[in-house]
Amino acid sequence: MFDGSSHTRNLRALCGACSSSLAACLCVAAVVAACDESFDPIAPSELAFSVFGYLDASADTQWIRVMPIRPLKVTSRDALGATVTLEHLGTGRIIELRDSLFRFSPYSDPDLGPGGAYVHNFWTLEDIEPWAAYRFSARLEGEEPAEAVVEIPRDYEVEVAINQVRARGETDELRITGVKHVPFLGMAANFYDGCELSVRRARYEERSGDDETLVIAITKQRLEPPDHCGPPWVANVALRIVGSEAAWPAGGYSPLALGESGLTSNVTNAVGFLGGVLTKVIPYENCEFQSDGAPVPDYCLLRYTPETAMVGGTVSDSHYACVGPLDSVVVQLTEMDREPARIRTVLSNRAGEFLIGALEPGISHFVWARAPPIPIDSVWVLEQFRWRYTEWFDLHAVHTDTLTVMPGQRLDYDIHLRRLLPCNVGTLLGTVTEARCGDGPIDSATVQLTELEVPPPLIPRTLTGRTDSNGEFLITGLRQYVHLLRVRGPDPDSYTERVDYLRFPPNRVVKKDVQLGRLTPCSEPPPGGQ
Amino acid sequence: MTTFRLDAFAVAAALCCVPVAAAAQQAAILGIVADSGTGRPLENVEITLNTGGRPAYRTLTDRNGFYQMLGISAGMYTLRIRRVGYLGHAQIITLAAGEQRSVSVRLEQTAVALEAVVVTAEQGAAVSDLGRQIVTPADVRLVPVPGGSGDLVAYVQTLPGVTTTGDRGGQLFVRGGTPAENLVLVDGIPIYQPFHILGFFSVFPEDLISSADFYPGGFGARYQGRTSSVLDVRLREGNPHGFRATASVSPFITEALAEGPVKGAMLLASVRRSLVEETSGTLLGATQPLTFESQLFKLTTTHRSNDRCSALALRTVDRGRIDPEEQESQVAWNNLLFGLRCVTLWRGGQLLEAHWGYSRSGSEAVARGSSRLHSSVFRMQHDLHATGRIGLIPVEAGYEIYGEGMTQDAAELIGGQTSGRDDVWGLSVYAEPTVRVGSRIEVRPGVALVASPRAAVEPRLRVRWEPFGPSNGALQGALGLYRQYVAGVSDMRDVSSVFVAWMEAPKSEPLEALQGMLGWQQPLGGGLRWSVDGYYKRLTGIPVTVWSAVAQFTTQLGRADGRTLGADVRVEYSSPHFYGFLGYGYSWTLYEASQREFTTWFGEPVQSYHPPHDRRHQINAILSLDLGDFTASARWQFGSGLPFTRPIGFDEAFDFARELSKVKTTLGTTRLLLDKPFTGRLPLVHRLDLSLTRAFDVSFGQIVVQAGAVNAYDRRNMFYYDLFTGRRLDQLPLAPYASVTLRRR
Repeated sequence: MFDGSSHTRNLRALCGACSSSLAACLCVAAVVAACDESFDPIAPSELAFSVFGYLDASADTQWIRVMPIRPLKVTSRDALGATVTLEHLGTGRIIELRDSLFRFSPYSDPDLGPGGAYVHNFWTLEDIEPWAAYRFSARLEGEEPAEAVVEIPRDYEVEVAINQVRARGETDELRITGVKHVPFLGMAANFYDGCELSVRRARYEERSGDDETLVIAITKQRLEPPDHCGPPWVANVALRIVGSEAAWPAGGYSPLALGESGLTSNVTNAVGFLGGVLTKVIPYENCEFQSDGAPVPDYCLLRYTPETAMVGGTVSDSHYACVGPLDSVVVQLTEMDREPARIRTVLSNRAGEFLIGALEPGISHFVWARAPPIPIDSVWVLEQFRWRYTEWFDLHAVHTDTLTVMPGQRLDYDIHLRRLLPCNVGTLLGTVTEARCGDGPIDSATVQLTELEVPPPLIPRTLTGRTDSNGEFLITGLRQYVHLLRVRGPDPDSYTERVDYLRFPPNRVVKKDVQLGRLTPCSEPPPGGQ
Repeated sequence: MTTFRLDAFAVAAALCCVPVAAAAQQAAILGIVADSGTGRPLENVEITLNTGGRPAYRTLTDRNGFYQMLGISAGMYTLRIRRVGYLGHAQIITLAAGEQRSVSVRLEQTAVALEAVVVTAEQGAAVSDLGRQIVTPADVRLVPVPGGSGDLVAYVQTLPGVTTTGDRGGQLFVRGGTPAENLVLVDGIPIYQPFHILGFFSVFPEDLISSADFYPGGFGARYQGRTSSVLDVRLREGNPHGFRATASVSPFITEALAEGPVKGAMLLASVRRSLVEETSGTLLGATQPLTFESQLFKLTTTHRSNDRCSALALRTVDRGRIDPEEQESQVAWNNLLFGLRCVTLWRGGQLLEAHWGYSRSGSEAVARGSSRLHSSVFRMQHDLHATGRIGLIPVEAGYEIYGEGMTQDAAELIGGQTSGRDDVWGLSVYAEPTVRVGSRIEVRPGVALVASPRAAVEPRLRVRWEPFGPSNGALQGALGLYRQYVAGVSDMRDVSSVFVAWMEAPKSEPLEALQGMLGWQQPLGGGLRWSVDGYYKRLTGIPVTVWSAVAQFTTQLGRADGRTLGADVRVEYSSPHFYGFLGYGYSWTLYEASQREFTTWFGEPVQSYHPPHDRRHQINAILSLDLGDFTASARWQFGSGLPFTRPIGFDEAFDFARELSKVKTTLGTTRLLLDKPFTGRLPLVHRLDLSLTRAFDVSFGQIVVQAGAVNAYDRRNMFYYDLFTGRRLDQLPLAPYASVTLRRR
């Protein structure tokens, strides 16, 4: 479409004249017919980069995304060629950030297209000083730099108090004091209801308060423990308080509202946002948790206790094609060689992150992590009747390990759960049984799936599986096309055949139990000696 | 009915302050002119009263074949009635003072049928009467269409000021207005989406229409409820003398038509279905997933000589993908229409035309990654129009009562309260006298009083001045206020989105248009004539989709004000064996919208932009030529580029207030940043369509064979550009075709 030849340029100029001059157009209609002008839809802009990130004085590594604003959705793995620096405005010290090219796999997000997405994340291991200001600069040779001044908040002492209410439907409150601005607050409150499966997670409502105190409401309305269990109690809370020196814009930064420099972006010559924060992670174990029904004070005070240890990290899928955070994974730490052993259980959040605090240093802990089972759409077929019901299926293997933490340590511990089925493909499983004579499971029955309506140039595939001695089969790697299912007995002349149409969405497991009828008299032994 | 007539005429009289008494001194003559064979009323027939061998009074019949001449001095005259293609009629009549004479005449067709390229002198692309352009089947036949017959929409698209966004989608933009602002009537009943998804075709093929009035603007008080244009189509009646059938097939469409007498009535039945989806893979190299079909039945009965009633049933279905490669998207719409139309010449000399109708349209669309959008609208209406006189003043007056129900589920496209049901009912009366000032100036001041949904007055004024006498050039002008109480909302951001959600105008504030136009038309003799028209519109309350800095599927509905100005220039030549037309249209449309998002992005709440249908320059040329047994036709069209919103580029954004994500583990939300609305222009488009036709007489009737090509020099005209994928979608490539039509007489 883009042609740089002089001939094309001449034609293009003529076409341009055509659009503005009617007379010229009429005169050169024949030439116009030959115009196949190039088309460049991109508007010229002074915006050089898209910049997102935050400097965190409590982190050991700083990461800032610096990307060109590109004409197409697809990303490039080409070098950015930008010089990215942080200048300490108090001392004049300049830190140069290093580029690193990250690739996000299409298997974790099919919308990325077959090539995935490449992004440039700049990083440094240099310390970021609290109560300091830094000038961020990203510059391409010969062009105006994109700049932003980032203020890092001073270190703060934060106090967190909790007010627990016994009733199930009531609301607990957390009161946070000591930090001026909290642009972001993450919280995972885990509850204990007296039963073995003790983890529930509550959501918290939007925070409110004045400059002095931040009040967070923890709602328990959705906590529905079984009848024989007790009322839910906050067993532990992991708070991630992100403080900043200046308030971030009211209403937050919506990705849909970010815009031109000076209006909705704090980076000149760029779109995006660069903030400065100091993060405190406050694990809390309820001081009344062990009280076994003893009176609870109105507010129980939580404190940041660096003397204890904590373990945190990200739970992700181990499969090379499905790398991505896993939500709602139960992570459990059990003290070993101690009686009674204390058990800590948390759930990973949407980003796959988990944090377990108040661990006793020096004690070995048994780590157990299990991803939530996924629902299976099951169909049970008997003659012309079909019943649909839901079963649950483990998509990932359970993770087990042991670890020991040191006093004051925050141990980074990432968990990769082994995937039991391929990624982003459908799976069919079920059993094949004989129904007419009541023979039960059929061994070595053939289960064949043939793809239909496959758009060219893709070639339709046929996948075939056989049942085991329990009559069970599993066929995975199914693409999301309509499939023709044919189930035949080991001896096609001895059993009826069943045909059906199925569709397999990615990452879904469909369970289908199929019943065949024996064609030989029931008084005779089953074919194959079953 | 009688009560109404008196009321309406009283209103007109009060408005016009006419000295009624003068009428008593002078005579009047009126009547209906019809075809002797079919009884069909003949429009545009010239009526003259001659005395001393010279015409003393002259008029033309209207759409119902009705004429009236008022203010005639008592005496003896020769009444002459003439129309091209018919034997003339002449009779001597003597009129006494105060006499009103009714003379209805049936004209007999001449033995020689009109050839394809003959366009009568009173009509044509460069001729209009007070803003009205009459389109006949002969006009429609001039434009090459890849089917067995011509199509009204293909012809209308050649007129200056009429724009389409491409050859798919079936949307017409007239002089800066949007498709939802056009009023299309079929035998007096509104039809919502009459144009098929493939732009050459509509529900009005050449074989079905009797004639059509096209007002690109400045229409009279008779038409209400729309602000842009009017296309008033009258369908043929079936042949009363015997059974006739026509069937045709081409790679694009197949159709069949049957007509004949049924127990004293005249039946007309037509079925059409597209074939392009089945044939395009072979013919065009890629399948065009566009299908449509329509069925039409019309039954006409006559009572006495001049009373006729017709019943109409019409159904259409359109379905397809505007972008053939977008497998998950689809758009579909349908129409269902039932209508009853009666015309009678009342004893007092008034012509009454009444309609009862039900029209329903449903549309739905599925876009990639979104749920189904749905909209349906139905309308029940009754209207009556009377043409009569008050004293010496001819007056047209009438009323309309209607109910319109709209349901829509378009919340995913247009957030907010765009799911639900709206009901609108309305009542309006109008009167439009024709006042002659001397013999050369004709003034039609009209007014419509709308009682609901809000009480309002819509004044209209149309003027025609013939300074050098009749048929020697005319200056015409129009000024009027127009309101529209229902809105057809479409996604202006995406040219490929043809889904229209019908709803009550946002905040119950009607879309309002103040229109003014002025034009001159000049016959040059020998079949050559030219015309030039200028127009200006002020629009308020246009429903528009709210702009955002980031491309997103769901948007909000806002309102804009707008201005449109433009000019049409037409040159036309017609002779028995040659027809040529060249039209140039200049149009400039600017919307002005106040939106919060503009403040966020540009610091100013008000932004002006040219909407996506603002085609600045447009040229159309038609040639039709008789070459012995063959008829050759060509159409060349040229249009400057349409506006689009230019992107700045893609990036990944983070909403840190929602989640303090790490940039090393999270990709972010990919977004497309957009520049100010509609600052870019797509490339210009031009295309040549050709056809060659020959008819063979055979024992049972006639076989007509046509061969032709759409986009004859295979120009790559861009339809739209997918900003997300960088993929351009072009309009149809070179498409050769051949069609065969069998006509059984």
